[in-house]
Order: sequence, then C-alpha cells, then structure tokens
Amino acid sequence: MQLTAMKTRFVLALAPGWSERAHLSFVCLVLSVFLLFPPAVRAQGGDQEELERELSRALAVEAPPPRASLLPDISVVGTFAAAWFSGEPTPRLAAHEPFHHGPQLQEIELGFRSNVDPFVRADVFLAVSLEGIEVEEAYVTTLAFPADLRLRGGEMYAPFGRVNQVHYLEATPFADLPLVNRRFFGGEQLRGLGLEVSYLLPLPFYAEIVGAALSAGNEVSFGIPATEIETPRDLLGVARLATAFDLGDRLTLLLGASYANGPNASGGLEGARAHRTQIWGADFTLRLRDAASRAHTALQAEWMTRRAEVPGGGFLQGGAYVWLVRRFDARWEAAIRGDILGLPSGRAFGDPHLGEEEVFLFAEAIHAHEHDHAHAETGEFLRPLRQRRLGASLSFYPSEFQRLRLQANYDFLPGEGRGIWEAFFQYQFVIGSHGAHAF
Amino acid sequence: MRPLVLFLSAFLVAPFSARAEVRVATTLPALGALAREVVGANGTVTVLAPPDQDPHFVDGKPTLILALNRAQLLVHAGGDLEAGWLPTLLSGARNGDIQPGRPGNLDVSTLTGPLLEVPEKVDRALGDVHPRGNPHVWLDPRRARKIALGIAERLASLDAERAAAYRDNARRFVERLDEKIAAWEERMRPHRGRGFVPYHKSLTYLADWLGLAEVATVEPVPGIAPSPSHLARLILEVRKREPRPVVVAERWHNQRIARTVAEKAGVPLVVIPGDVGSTRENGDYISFMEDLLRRLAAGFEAAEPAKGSAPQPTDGQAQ
Repeated sequence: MQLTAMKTRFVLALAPGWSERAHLSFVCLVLSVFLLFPPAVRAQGGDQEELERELSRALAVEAPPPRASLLPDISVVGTFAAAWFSGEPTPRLAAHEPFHHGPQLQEIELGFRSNVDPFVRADVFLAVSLEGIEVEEAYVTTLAFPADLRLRGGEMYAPFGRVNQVHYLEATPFADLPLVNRRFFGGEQLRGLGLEVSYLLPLPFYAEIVGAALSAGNEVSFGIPATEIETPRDLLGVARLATAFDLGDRLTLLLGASYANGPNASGGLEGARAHRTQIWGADFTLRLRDAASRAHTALQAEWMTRRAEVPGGGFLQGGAYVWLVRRFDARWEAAIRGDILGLPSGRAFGDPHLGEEEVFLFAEAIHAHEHDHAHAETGEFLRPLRQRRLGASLSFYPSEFQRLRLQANYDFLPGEGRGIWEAFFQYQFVIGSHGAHAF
Repeated sequence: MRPLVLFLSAFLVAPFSARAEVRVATTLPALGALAREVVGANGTVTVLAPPDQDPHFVDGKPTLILALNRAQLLVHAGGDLEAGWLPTLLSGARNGDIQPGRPGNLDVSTLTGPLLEVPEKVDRALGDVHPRGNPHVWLDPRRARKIALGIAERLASLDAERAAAYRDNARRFVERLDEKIAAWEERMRPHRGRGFVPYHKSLTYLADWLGLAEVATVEPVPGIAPSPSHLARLILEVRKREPRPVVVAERWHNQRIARTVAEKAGVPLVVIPGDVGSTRENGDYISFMEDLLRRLAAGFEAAEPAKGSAPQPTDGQAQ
C-alpha cells in the first residue's frame, strides 16, 4: 500500500494536470507491468521457460494468422551456374543451360500460385534471365470439372514425356537438359499457348489420357508464330497416355507414351504450311523408396523419334537418355546419365543431298529479313546427328531450400576426333512458399 | 440386344451402388485410424502416407490419385504439413468435392483448437517453420478425441442417412478413449515435468498433454540437419539436466545421430516406430498410443528409476 501511495504521489508530481481517474489507471498500468515482468527477469531455468511457454501460448492464440491476406503463394527460385568446357561445346541454344565459360545466371523463376475461385486454380511462372523476362508458364487448371476431366488453359509446357513437363532446373538431377530434349525441343523446351484436356480413365489402376492443342512457337521442331496462325492445322497437337503401378509398398513404376504433330515451317515463309514434324515418345520411370527414410533410388528413361518434312524430303532422328538417381538422405544426391542421339540414327530421306544444306526455318526467315543474317542457329537442330554423352552429378542440400551441385559431362562429339569435357557448378535457392514436388 | 441393354444399364447403376458405402481418404495413418473408428462397417478408409515415412516427405505417387478421385471425404492434418505432396495429387484427383473449402475437405487443424508454436516471425532462418503453427496434433489423445468427433460430424452432414451410425461409432470410440486417457494420465503422472529431447518438433502436443518439458531438439531448427557444434552444445546441456531426460526420435529421423546424442549424453533413446500400423502391435489408434507411452515410460524409468520401482538396465536403449 505504501508503495502504491508513493507511486501515486510521484505520478501526481509528474503530471499535475491529470484527473484522479487517469492517475489511477496509469498506476494500475505501471503496477501490472511490474507484476508481469520482474518475475520473468528473476526466474531462472525452469520457471522462466515455463513462463515463456505460457506466454507464447497465450500470444499464439491472439496472434493473427500470418497469411490472412488474399495474396497468392509466391516463390522465387534462383539458379546460377559456372561452366567450363575443354573445347567448343556442342550446339545449344542460349536459354537456360550453361553454354559459355564462366559464371552465368540460368534463371530467376518467380512463381505465383493460388485458387482463383472455387472452380479454377492459377499457376504463373515468370522466368527472368539476363535476356529479359518471359512468361515461362501461366495457366489455369479446373478443380472441379465433371466426368473426371481436367482442363488446363494458358501458356504451358506441352504434356510430352517426363522432362518436358517439369521445370528441369528444379526437378531434375542435372544442371542441363538431356541431349534429345535439347535437340528436339530447344532451350525453352516444348511449350505454347493453348488448351489441354485430360481424363482419368475409369480403370482399377491409374491411367490418364491427355490431349492438347498449342500454338507451335517452338524454336526447333515446330513453328508457326502465333501471329501467323490461320487454321487449326497450324497448331501443335500433343497426346499422351500415362499410367502408374505400385509394385509393393515402396516400388512404383510409371509408363508413358506421347505423340506430337505440328507444322515445322521449314522452307521459309512460303512453304510454311507444307511441312510437318511428328515426334513419338516413350518413357519409363522406376522409383524405389527406402523404408523409414528420405532416401530413394530412381531409374528414368525416355526415348523419342522425330520425323520432320523439309522441302525436297525429310529427316528421321531418334534419341534417348537414361538416368539413375540415388538420394542418400535429406542432404546428398548422386546421379549418372547416358545420352544418345540415334535410335534410329539420323538420316535424310527424299533428296539425297538434303543433309548437306542448311535447313531454313520460318523463324530464321523472319530473322534474316529483319536483320539480314544469312542463317541462324536453330535450323541446325532439325538436321540429323549422331552423338553420345555421359554425365554424372553430385548434389548437396544444406536445407530443403538450397542446393549446390557439381556435374561433369563427357561429350563424344559428332563425327571423328576426341570429345570434350564439360564441368558445371550450380547453385540454387528457393524463397517463399514451398511448392509441391513432382514425382 | 438384351445383353447389351443389361451391360449398359450396369454402367448406369454402378455409380449408385458404389455410392452405397462411404469412401474416406486420409493423408496420415493416425488420421486414418481415427476415421476407421468412426466409419466402422459403413465404408472404407484409404490412407495415402505409409506409416514408416516422415509426413512432410511422402512421395506424391500418381497411384494415390485413384483413392482421392473416389473419396467423398479427405481428412488431412493441414497447417501446411502436407504442402510438399498433397496439392499435386488433389489437382490430379479431378474431384471437386474434396477441394479445399468444400465440405468434403476436412482440415483437422481446424478441429483441435489453436495450434501451438505459431511463429511470431515467419522466417526460414528459423528453419522449415509452419506459418500457422505446429501441425503434429494427433499424438495428444484429447485432441484425437476432437478429431474423431469432428470426422463424425462431417460425415453425418455429408451422408445424412447414416448420421446416427457415425455419431454412435464416434461416441463409443470416445468413451473407450476417455477411459484410456484417464489410465494413461495416471500411468504417466510420475513422469510429469520430465525433460525430453525430440529429434523434430513433432511431440509438442504429446508434451502439452503429459506435462513434459522439451529440453531442446536434436535438429537445431526444424528441417535442418544438426552440425557437430550444435550436437556438442546439446549433449552438454542434456548431461547437466536433473532428472535425466530422454532422447526421442521417430524412425524416419537419422538414427545414428539420435543414438550418438543419447549415448554421449548418457541418457536412453526412445524410438517411435512410426505412425499407426508401423508394427504388428499398433494397428489402431489406442494400441498405437499404448505402445508409444510404454516406450516413453520405459525410457523415463531407465533414465531415472522412480522411487520404489526396480532399477532397469540402462544400455542407452529403451525399445
């Protein structure tokens, strides 16, 4: 009581203009602060922890949920690489693969994901590189379309094979693309603007059938730019059948078959609609999860073959990769990969001299008109080639949100002579919301 | 003609006859065990996650899409626990009834009262934190009770015809569970206030129920592998503690690290064999909790025998 009286006098002296009521409430406030804090300061060990727990529990109840806004889930994935080549690297498109000596920014990916309303969900991925910003993917997916159908519309990776459907910088165990994916789909992979319909087949096991029609702006195998599209035949059609089986509790087998058909616009502006490219693909994934562990082993293989018509004939080219990944635990992962362009080995049909000349693509034609360049890089990717490559990588994850990767490739260059070595160091970080992993 | 009509009408009838029994899918085995108590003979419960895998890191296998496609109710822990694998499956399921926000989507973190350990600051420098709070609620049977009742109410609203059956099943289960809770609390009373060192912050609700004190975690922060310096500090801290705490690790955590910490600190290691169904003895929720508490009590006994009970061999292991 004496203490309270003293305090009151002290406060009265400090703030003579205050009303009695204001003084009283101020005193109560000061006292309650004293009552609350000195024990916390004095208490040692168990008492303090007990009180801290009590406080954090009390505060937890009242704390507003941190994500009480309508912002979408936002993430940023930064991928950087440093590369070294023992000789002239095999042709690649300057997109996101390491393609020159020294450090390079592979991609800064900005991801935005959210439900739009009860009917659809939107996923937007913007890729920022030194060349600028581009829409990597931006699509909506139906959540509740009837009859086991799912619709997807917008800019998206074509539902072809395995690697083409994922953001390979995040989801594959290597810093670069498989040879066949690069050769057939280019550095940006096979993607376009359009609509996809998929159907879960009413079977006792998982089987899905997918069809898509996309604007075929691909820089390698297909290509009538969106602005030049006149008929549905100018679009790229893609179909896929995928199925999966559990072989026991821990082993899963995935099988898929894909097909793409679209105009390739070889022969420049005039011949744009006369020539088509068809690609057939088959994929196989076998994944074994260790008991009670993050560890798993996965064997994945894809084979594709492409038949491209060009003025005077065409080219037939096959290619495949197979990789084996071992995730040892939460932190370490190792992988090996074999690549081949062949199966069937590239050959030309029609005009016997076809393989000797530069193939002129639509995109290049525009390029040549605008910039007066004789030829661009892309045409070369349509020509047949035999090539083999071996690679190995080792990845370290300090946490779920960072990855360091070392990779070495030996590239048996086409033709005779010795191959070259390629070495990559790659670093990746993820901030923001944690997206779901692809299987 | 007639066989054809019969054949086609079978397709028309099949969906209705299939709807006769309720189909529930749950992400985690413990939630599946609770759902099974409520559903009883009125339908089927499919569990997506295997009982021996860390619920954060379940493989989102496409084969799991089938169960979600056919489910009328999805029961999941929520609080972003399944964020790494469930969204892809849910999108692939093409099942509007179980999408977030629909009556067929039951987030159990909404049933059990406020989550504990809601971070005041959501920052990954503090590890893989769950912004909405710690989602590992099911190891507290008082909260499991609320989950079972919540599942029954949700099923009753989805399938009004059998509402009484679900509520009866839940009531019977809760009666059994209440008896058990009283017995478990009695059995664990001597260990109240005892310290434990979990590998991950997955036993918070168990500790909240039994009045156990989390001394520290083997992981420095959630989801980050411990460094030797963190382990050294941890071991020294554990050695100082009186009465001696126990180290508790789930089977999917790094057993070598957990064992080393226990051995160096001279305290027992209690291994939780996984979720419900991970061993032959823990096939339902009650037997699972029974098994878990038996292991925990044995660990505490081994660390510091309670007065009047016979001392037990301490070989650093309490299995």
